[in-house]
Amino acid sequence: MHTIQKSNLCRALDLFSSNATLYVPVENGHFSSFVPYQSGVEVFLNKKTTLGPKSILLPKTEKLYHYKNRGKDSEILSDAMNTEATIIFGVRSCDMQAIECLDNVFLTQSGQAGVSDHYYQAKRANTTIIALSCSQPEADCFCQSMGVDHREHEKADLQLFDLGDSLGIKAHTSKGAELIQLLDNSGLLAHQEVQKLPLADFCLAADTDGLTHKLQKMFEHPLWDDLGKKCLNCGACTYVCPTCHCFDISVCHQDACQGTTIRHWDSCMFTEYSQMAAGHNPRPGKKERVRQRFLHKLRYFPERYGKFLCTGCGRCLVTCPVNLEITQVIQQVKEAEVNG
Amino acid sequence: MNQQLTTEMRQIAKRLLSSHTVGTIIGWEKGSRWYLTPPAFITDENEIDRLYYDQFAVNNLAIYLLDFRHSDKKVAVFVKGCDSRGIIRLIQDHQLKKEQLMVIGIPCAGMFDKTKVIDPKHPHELPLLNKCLECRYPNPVYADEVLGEVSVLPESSRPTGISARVATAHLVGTRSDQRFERVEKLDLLPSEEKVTLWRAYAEKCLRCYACRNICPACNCEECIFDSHKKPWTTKAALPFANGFFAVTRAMHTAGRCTECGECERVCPVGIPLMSLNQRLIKTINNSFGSYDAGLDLELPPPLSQFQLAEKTEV
Amino acid sequence: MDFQSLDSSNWQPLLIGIICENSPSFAMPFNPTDEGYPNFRCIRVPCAGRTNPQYILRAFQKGADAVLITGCPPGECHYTSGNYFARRRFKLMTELLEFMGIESERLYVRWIKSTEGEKLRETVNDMAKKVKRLGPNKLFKEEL
Repeated sequence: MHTIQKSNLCRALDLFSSNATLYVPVENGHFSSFVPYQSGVEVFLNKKTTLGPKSILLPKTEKLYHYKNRGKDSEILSDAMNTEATIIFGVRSCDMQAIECLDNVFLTQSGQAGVSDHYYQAKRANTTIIALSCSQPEADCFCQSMGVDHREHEKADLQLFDLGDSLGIKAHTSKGAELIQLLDNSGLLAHQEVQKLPLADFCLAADTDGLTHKLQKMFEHPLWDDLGKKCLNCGACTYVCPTCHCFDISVCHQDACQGTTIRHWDSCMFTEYSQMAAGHNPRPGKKERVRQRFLHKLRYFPERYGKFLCTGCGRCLVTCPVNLEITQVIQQVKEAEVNG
Repeated sequence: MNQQLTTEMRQIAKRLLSSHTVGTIIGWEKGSRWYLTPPAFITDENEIDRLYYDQFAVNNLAIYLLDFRHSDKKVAVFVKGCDSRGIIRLIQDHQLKKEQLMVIGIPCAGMFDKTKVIDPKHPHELPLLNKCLECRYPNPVYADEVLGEVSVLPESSRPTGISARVATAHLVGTRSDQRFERVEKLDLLPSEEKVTLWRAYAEKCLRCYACRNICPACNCEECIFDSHKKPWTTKAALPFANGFFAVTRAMHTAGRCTECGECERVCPVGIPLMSLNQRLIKTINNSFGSYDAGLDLELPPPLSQFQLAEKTEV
Repeated sequence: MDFQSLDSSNWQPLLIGIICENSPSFAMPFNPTDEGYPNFRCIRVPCAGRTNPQYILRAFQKGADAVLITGCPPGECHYTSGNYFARRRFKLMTELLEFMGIESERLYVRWIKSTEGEKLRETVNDMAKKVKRLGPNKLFKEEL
């Protein structure tokens, strides 16, 4: 396998950033996220980031178009679609799996060739993803239980393996192969025999065997009454989750005649998320909203796309102010008595 | 100490539920890790053994009482010192009546800072949260019943009850004179640096509303930021809108904040929200007279009253 | 009203006044050589006590470089006590905004009687002079 010394990583990143916008994980105090690369920045590789790379493909706020009204006429001005090449470096398997879930939602619409989301598609088509293996799962990681291999993700363009002083490199796609060529031309690569990395020991696990099937019979189960009580209905879990993708579209009025339409994150945990114009709210209480969140992740999404909408990254476990944990929900569902 | 308090919690819960004095008991239970003790809701005598108390029971339970606003049965809630001020806050804001509640005071030896956990599998020493080192109200300021021999003291005090010694050993309240230290340091920065700092925080903010939803002082039935009919600012998490939210929330809770510190604890991106609230508290103390919210049901909060001649003129 | 399009050498501050209805804004004798002219815009409110913190934030959001709040002097409020509540509220608001980087010269709270048109004019000119030295406001400005 090709390898590169970690001490040469800066040079590799400089190369990558020479003809693309490169995003790397960076830490600031307790908080880490993916930021645009600047030469010399210290890249944070010890743990997965506080916030994943979701905001690169599905930004927190995104301008859709400007409008100008002149009398009865209206002018719509779109910014040019962003087609610049982007590279995201250091994506963990859980986050790569999450990007795969987002691809399902925004690109293929239930696997049928149909309408894609232009904004997401433009970014995704021009994005190269460099994944990085995890050597040691954290306290809140449970990706293994959700069917994700922490050592490698097949859908990444380029996969890096943490070998201690060096990184193993393997291309999965032609985009990845191009990057390897770029590194090879600069003499940064070596070649060595690399053993397959061992599977790590996780503190946290969840038994997802038969989960979706069982949940199909549990919509009216009393389990949801108790579970929802401590939820605060904030959006913290949804916003740190790498797979959550709900959005709203708002208009920012500059003045009476012009403004900008913006797409931005929204959360199914907010009360008014499902509020309808006439005042009816089909999810009026905490119970309905908490039930919806877990059914979406563990039942509706698997029914549609064949995979869980949870990749076991554990960020919601860390962030939730009241420790409402999906692993515990899975456990309770497992233990619940269901008729029929 | 924790064992005894847990036993007392369960005993009182059993008594209240079996006598049908209350319909729900809000307390804490042991979570999935050694450093987690999240909220629990007990409605059945069979569940009483879930109740648990230790130095990770940091959640302020007062906020949950808003869900029981219209309940026909009484609700029991366990409160530490800081939580009990939240109860007064809710009663004073006419969100709840005393008669709806059974408030059970519990002594507090300070809460551990779980962000400093190194070994997720094995318990180890941890420092206390900063707010506990600066705490002036370790005893409940209001309670119908008490556990652990704690005294109900509606004034700034030292810890009492069976955990008093541990609290003192952990230095609870020893930095209460320095509680404005962070605010004073930030005040000294030049304007351009302050702008850069708060712009950076406004860019980080996700508008998840965790801070608002966990705050006992944020108890409006409809928050202005949820209103679609009268949108003060965009729901999108743009920096200028996030700044608008932060300042508005600070001003709406000005004079009413009970300094429980939950807002800052729960922020997913680590914005120092308490510095805004404490800055306002400092102004109130300096200009309108020393005031601590959530202590006195009779005295109106500072922004609901005025003096004909103020110490400071504009 | 395209103040934003002026380049930095030509920048004129935008001053927003949230003026109580008993203030003398209509009687204000501005002349074209005044510092504050023509960049001062008023919003009338029935009483200074009506002014929300949000009004000030919205002014800054929409491009204001300084905000003036006026009310009746203590003891002379048309609605008896609105100005007393306003006095406390804006003491807090001024200090909070200063804490976040909006200089105290950008938020003026003044008591101006209905007969003091000249005082209002002087206040606005004073504000304009000070803000011109500080430059445009950068915090909370609506940027898309």
